[in-house]
Amino acid sequence: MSSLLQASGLTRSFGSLKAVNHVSFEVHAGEVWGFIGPNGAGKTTTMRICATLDLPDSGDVLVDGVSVILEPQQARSRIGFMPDTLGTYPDTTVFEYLDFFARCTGLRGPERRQRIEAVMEFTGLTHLRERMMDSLSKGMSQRLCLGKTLLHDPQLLILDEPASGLDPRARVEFRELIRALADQGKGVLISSHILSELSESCDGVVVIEQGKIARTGHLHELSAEMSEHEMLFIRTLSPARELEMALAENPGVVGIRPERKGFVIEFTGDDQGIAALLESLVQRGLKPVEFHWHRIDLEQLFLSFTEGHLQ
Amino acid sequence: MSPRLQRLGDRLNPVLVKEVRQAIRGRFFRISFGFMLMLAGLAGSLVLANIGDSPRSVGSSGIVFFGTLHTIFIVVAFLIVPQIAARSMAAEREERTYDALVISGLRPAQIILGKWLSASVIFGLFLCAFAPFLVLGFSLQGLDPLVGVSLLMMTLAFGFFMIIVALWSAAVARNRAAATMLSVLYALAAVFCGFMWISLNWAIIWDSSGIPAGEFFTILVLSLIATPLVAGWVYSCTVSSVTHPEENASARVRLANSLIAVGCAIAITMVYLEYVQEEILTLGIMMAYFVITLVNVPTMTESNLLGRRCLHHLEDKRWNLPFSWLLLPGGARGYLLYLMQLVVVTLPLLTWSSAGSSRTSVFDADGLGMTIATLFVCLGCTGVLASIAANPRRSPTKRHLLRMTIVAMPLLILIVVALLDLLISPGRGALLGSGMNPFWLIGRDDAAFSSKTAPGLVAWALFGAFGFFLHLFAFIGSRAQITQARRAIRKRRKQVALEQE
Repeated sequence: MSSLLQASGLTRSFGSLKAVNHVSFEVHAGEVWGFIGPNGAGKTTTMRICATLDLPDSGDVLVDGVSVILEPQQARSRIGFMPDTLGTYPDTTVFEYLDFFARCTGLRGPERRQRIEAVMEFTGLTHLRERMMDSLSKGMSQRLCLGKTLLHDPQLLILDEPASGLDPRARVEFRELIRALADQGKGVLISSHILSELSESCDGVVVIEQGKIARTGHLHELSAEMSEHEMLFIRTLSPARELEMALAENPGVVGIRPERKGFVIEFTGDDQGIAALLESLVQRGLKPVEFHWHRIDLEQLFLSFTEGHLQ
Repeated sequence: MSPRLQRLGDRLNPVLVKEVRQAIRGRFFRISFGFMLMLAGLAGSLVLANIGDSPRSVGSSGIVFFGTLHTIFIVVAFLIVPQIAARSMAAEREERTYDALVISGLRPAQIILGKWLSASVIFGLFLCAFAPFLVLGFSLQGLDPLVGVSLLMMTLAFGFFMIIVALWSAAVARNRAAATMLSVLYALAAVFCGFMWISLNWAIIWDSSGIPAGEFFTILVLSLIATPLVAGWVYSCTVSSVTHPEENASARVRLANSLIAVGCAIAITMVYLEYVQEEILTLGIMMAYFVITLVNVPTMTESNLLGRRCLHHLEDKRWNLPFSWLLLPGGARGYLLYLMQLVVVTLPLLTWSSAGSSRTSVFDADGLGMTIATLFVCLGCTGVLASIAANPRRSPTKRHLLRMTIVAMPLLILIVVALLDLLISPGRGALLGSGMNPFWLIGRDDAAFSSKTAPGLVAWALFGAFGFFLHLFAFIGSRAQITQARRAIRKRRKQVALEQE
């Protein structure tokens, strides 16, 4: 898979404080990568460097092969950066706001209007086009900010805490938008404190602590690192006791723990073994209703990879 | 909308479109526009109501009416419109929208230009609203139309200049405290300048017959030439203050400095050739030295290390033009350019003999001692301090402190000399009034320059010469960095070409 964002050896100091220390990671096209770390770990500084807003003391970031340090203007056309807060312009409507940024990106005439309409439709802002932007709710503001980020159709999206302050519905909607963008082939780097959000939408994570990368990789790789075996979730219509007994009898199952009316099991076998396990459960008349890979718990992963140091 | 208008609308600076739209809807503009118009209407009515029956009163009614309305318009030009510009710039930082602007694809120069243009459009709206009142002033008796129009043109030029100054003060501030301090400083300066200009205006329109037409229009032309030159310099500095330090933000400032130097040289020559007075030449060059020194302080104190972004573009065509390296950032190059500009403003001395002066040579003139003294004082104040500031290891804060020290250096020297004087010979002024004081020759048109008459100045000049050598060493080091970077770029390009093959 092609690497859309390639950060290598990024270092950035503020006086004696090393905010970012030899940070290297990659984000691929069509994937959502989470950027997690405690407060003051260097997430925002790294993201600002990636978005051409700051310069590292050493190291470089390539966006689709273009250096953000040497060719910032070219890199900017490939990046959409959404900061943690949407700066508002007073006395400006939603359409005017998007129109202004569309003009800034060099879109002209009918092409500009078409692009604005498309973005408003994608972000669900069409009915708010004449609304003053300082009267928007937090969720709508975030949608507007995302819309502004998408105006020039960037290949890479860098989103700094996009879900902070959103209500549950807005969060779900926002997550769906992000997923849809990744499905369009865009790479997304997203930082958030709400780890449960990330675990449901991310393909990989970069864990940063005290300016250094604590761990980076695809979620299934990290999951495998945390546990030696494959993790599966199983739920059946039958009583839990019966299911537990059946699982315990399977030689491939090396660990069982209850979770949400079902069980998370550690399984040692390959795909053939997994298929055989499911078949055996059906043969015993246990009626499975859920049987899937168990998603990694990012909170657990975060706690295990970081030590809680603050800068 | 016609397609042509639409195309024109598309080509407009986006910041201009946004700012005008926002400003016209904004409360500050609506209130100030309404208030100033009401004030103009009220003041105009009062003036008209108070015109008496006497021929003297009727004869001067145009002057009083125009003067009053023009005074209100000066308040708009010096305070209200610049305030609108400064507020829009400060709001970008406060509302945290500046980053979004930077990554939107607009260059800092476009952002600042857009802000300046939008404030100029607002200024134009004020002018349109005031125009009927001002025209009424011309239709009444007593006002010389040429003087009135000239003054109005100068107010407009100053207004455009004040907008960019206000933008600069808002752009330089990095935090709320600095922004407040700078806006207060701007307001004080604007009130002072506005008051001076209003006073001068009244003096001119009342006494326009007493001013020789030639002199008045020479001043007018010089002001109209100087204002855009200085405004261009302030604009360059404003753009430079919002550009990343690793980018080449100072090329524009250096160009503006050079234009000011050429403008000074032309202005001095023009005025001298018209009046053929030696004092004009020497005083003009003296003032030019001070102006050139002041405008070059930001560029000659820059870090000598070229940033990565700047080095990356060294092989571009524009950086291979002759002398284009002088526009690259770096204090040593800035100092070299400064010396060249000093030479340029000295060139008017060549017109001395050609203008029919009684003296055989310019160098035997006593009055020239002042000019030489000013040159040496400027070189002494800048050389060593600028080279210390240009050291790449210097922090930005220390660099700013050194800049301020350079600007305040003449005052500091005078204080030190005065203190020494107090210690050595209280009350006699043995040092302050002698050649030991580097400034002694400045202001004395009866003394020629020599090492015996002004030993203090010679010492100060030697100090300046030491600074020159420091810059020279730094310059040689910087040249090596450039050569190395160019070699690396060529090598990289060759590699890329080979890979493509």
